Amino acid sequence: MSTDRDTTRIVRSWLDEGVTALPDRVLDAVLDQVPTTPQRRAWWPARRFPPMNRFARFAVVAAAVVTLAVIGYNLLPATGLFGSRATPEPTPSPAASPMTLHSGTLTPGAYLVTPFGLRLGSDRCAGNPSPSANPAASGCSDPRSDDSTRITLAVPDGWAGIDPTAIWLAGQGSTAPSGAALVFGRGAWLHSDPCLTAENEGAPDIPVGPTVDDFASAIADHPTLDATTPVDVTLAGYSGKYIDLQLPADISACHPYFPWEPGIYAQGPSQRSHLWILDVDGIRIVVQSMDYASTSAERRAELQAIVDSIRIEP
Amino acid sequence: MDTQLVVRAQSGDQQAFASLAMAVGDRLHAVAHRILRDTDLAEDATQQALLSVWRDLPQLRDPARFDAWSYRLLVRACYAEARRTHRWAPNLRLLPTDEPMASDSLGAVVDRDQLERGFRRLSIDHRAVVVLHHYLDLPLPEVAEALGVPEGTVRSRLHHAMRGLRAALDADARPTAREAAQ
Repeated sequence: MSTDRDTTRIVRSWLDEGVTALPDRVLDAVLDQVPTTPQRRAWWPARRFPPMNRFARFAVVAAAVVTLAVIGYNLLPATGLFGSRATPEPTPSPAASPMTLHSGTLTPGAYLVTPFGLRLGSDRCAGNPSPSANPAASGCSDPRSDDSTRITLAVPDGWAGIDPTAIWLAGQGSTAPSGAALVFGRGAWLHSDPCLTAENEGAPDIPVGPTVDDFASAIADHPTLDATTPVDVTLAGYSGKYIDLQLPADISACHPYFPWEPGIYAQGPSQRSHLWILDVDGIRIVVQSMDYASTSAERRAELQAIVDSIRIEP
Repeated sequence: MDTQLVVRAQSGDQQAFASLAMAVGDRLHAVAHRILRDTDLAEDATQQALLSVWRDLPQLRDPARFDAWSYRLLVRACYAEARRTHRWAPNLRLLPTDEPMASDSLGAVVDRDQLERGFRRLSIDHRAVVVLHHYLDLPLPEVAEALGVPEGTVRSRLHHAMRGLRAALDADARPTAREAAQ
């Protein structure tokens, strides 16, 4: 009869035998597919900045110089060389010269976000489904071309930028049980089963048209999403629909839980998403804030204030 | 793992990913082969896992955790392969019969045979724990992280798996074979 130690020794010895090298043809097959296999949408997307021309470089440098000058001026004592100056506004306003949103903790103030100049989301909707994706799923309603829509918002203390496209609670982030975040999107096709797994990781399969109503109705009519009935709303002067979405309490089997794609997958169980689906001069823009029941009332109020401060320049 | 390589691949650098795939390919394949016990399935699983690594890399928040994360994708690919096909043909390595064989060697062959049978009776869940712990020498907390399950679950699976393998080694076939060799 074997002892536990014998069994372990024999098993280890047995496992040490056998294949170790990956055949070159397998590696070659993988590398051959890479150029046509888009990387899957990251919650915090990988950035690919277009190459800058000379003018753009000059503009960036000039903006940086102006920004530094403004900061330097603001740091001067009130009775300094340039005389007295007005007391800074206690509440930041996006109408003031906005700073460009950046990763990391943000100083309170107005920030400029250009979320659609970057490719937020995978390209699986652009005719390049992943090997296991549904081959027909190539028609996501997310416009693929870059655009220059500018969004300004006022950020209070305690928040951080995530790439140049979204914000979340500094330190806490967007994770359960008490995180919070704000992100922008365009809406997209939905997954009929948002709980993606190894066996169910295809591209989104519920077609969604390009309008506000298309996306709002698709969410409201989805058989498994727990969403409120869309109601009319106006944000930043643009009309649209508002929906609350309650995500499931148990998403442990999902890798990840992904209602629509490109989009934001669940950041944690029982996440709540608040969607303002807006028609911005014919282009759909989705403002999505996220929190949890345990997110403090103070933080939720700050998040709502951020949403209320949003200004959109198509 | 070179985290800079991971970061570059995360941002879409295909050359960096090629280097990454070459660096981890052998290890992933060795693990897949030991879990699935089938060369073709292991190659398919490794290929799918590497493609998943490429596709999902932007979702990896901490590049330092690349290894555990890649094992998770690999085990997931092993699940998929195991479910996709039921080709569970034996993949035993046989010793030449015309060479003299010491009794220890014969015992080892019998052990392999019994282990192979016992291992194939385990679920992919249990196999993965055995391979990650006893082949890769990952501590149980790291196995738990790689598989995305609680450490207690890993301990339970390992206990169950090793008990099954021990039972296989103690099966009746072994003394019968040894008796035959005498």
